[in-house]
Amino acid sequence: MTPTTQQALPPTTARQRRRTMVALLVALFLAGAAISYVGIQYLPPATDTSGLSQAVTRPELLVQVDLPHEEFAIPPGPYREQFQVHCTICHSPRLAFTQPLLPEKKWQEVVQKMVTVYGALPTPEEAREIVHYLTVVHGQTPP
Amino acid sequence: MTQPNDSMEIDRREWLRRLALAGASAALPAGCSRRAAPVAEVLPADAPLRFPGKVPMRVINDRPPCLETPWSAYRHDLTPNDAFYVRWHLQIIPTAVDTRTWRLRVRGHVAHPLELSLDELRRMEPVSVVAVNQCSGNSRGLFTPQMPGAQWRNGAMGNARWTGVRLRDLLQRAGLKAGAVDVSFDGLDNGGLPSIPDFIKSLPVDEARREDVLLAYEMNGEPLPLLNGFPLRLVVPGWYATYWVKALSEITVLPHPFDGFWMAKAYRIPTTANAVEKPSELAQVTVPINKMNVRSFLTSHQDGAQVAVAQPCELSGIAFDGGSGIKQVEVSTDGGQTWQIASLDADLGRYSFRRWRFSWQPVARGRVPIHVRATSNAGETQPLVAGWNRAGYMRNVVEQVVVEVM
Ligand code: HEC
Repeated sequence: MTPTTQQALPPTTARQRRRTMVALLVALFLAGAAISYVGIQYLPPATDTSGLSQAVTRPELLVQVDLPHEEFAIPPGPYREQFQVHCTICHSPRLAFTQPLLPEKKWQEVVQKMVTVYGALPTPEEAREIVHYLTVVHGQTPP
Repeated sequence: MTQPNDSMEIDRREWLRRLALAGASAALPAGCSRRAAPVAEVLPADAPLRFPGKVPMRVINDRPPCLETPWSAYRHDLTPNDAFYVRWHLQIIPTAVDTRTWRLRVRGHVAHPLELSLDELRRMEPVSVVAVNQCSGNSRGLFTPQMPGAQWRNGAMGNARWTGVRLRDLLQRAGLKAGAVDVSFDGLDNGGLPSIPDFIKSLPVDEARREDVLLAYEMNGEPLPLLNGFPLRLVVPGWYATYWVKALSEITVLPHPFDGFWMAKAYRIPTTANAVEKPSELAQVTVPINKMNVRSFLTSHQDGAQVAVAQPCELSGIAFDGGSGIKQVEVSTDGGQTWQIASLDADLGRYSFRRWRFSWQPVARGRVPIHVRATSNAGETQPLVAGWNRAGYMRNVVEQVVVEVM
């Protein structure tokens, strides 16, 4: 572990810097919020809806949701890093761990499918390592 | 789990259970204590990963969201929007839709390409249908041997009143040219990388022109929730939900068969009866999945529910098929030896859940398996032994729920 430049500075300077950073971030956030608020206020009005039947409810003009984020705890095991690098790009790693405990052959098929069908990019060596990882942490030993 | 030496503990537990049961039967009109057993799938309200506009749901995947409906929701004929299951394939899903800029495009092999706003669609005459939306892989997690894919239990289905416009009317306005073969449907979602095939589905032109195929902007009288396809979703009553493209934005009429990945390579079934094949003998010929097979479920009681002996107890549940409607539902309380006919509630339409009811009076204490079997107006019925196919689609075996008569 090499210390970061910030940690290497005298403590007061580091604190000052951090404070400036936080202030900057807050300012940026407020500016962003203000711009989007103004933007929403000034968007063109909705078109006339007089032809609507009574039963039909009127949706919001802008419908928006915030999806929850939760870092999925990838279990420890051999070649965990390879899994983390290659198997979290297109979907949550959770998808692998809500699978049944699959035998090695099935994990091979899954990883192969990710490569050939969807374009995952582990090298053949890394693909083997990922299969090994999944078989160890979420697999089945053959009967 | 039972520890033989722990008789004191068992006695105390048994005593507590009796006490609870007595309390429950005092509170309920008949001796059918359906509330005695916990509803297994009700998750705590503060469970991590609550999704906006949704009750706590079983998370199969969080990016993109795949969420399973809690079983208790099926006690309603129309599945509440906030408990309706969610299934996206690709990670870039529309989390914000501005209806002032969103447009539906109809293009391709047509005389007059269309571009319509939500308001324009809403000004057309609204049409409604009550229809079951069921994932092709509903119940996949229950197959043996197991297969990869979203590991749903039975909660990847829902019944709703869908309101919108007829697809057929739009196709007519656009004017199909002679020789139209397929119609493809694309939504606002995408994989985020060029190597991931965009989620585009297609229907044969005759299916697309069915009078009950809708472009719905409402679900149970409310705008569609974003997670269920706001602002517009294709509704193909009787067909699996894979065709019900969410956040629809583009409809393309094609003079040739559509050959995109999600039709040509995924969501395919063997041509055998009920799409059954053997792990050792996979079918050579496959076709795109299409119409749903017949299913039924007990919804009033879950595994382990406690029921009082010699007291009337109403069993109830749902049945549905691919659109012929439900002719009959039978219930067995003796392990499938004899079957008795359940009564059917009002018909909400041939694509809807049909509520069935059965008055039962258990005669002896013990664990009692309850089986339910539906027969459709088309004469199709549910198998007693589960079929299997490699992708885990179309499971419709007669379900078993074991209750405890006390
Ligand atoms: C380039 C994008 C991409 C990468 C990288 C990727 N996947 Fe996938 N994966 C997908 C897509 C797309 C699906 C299909 C999602 C669906 O149908 O809902 C999928 C589905 C899955 C499934 C569900 C089973 C199935 O066949 O649909 C599993 C398990 C899975 N991936 C595991 C992995 C593992 C392990 C890795 C690391 C080697 C990985 N994925 C890397 C795109 C990717």
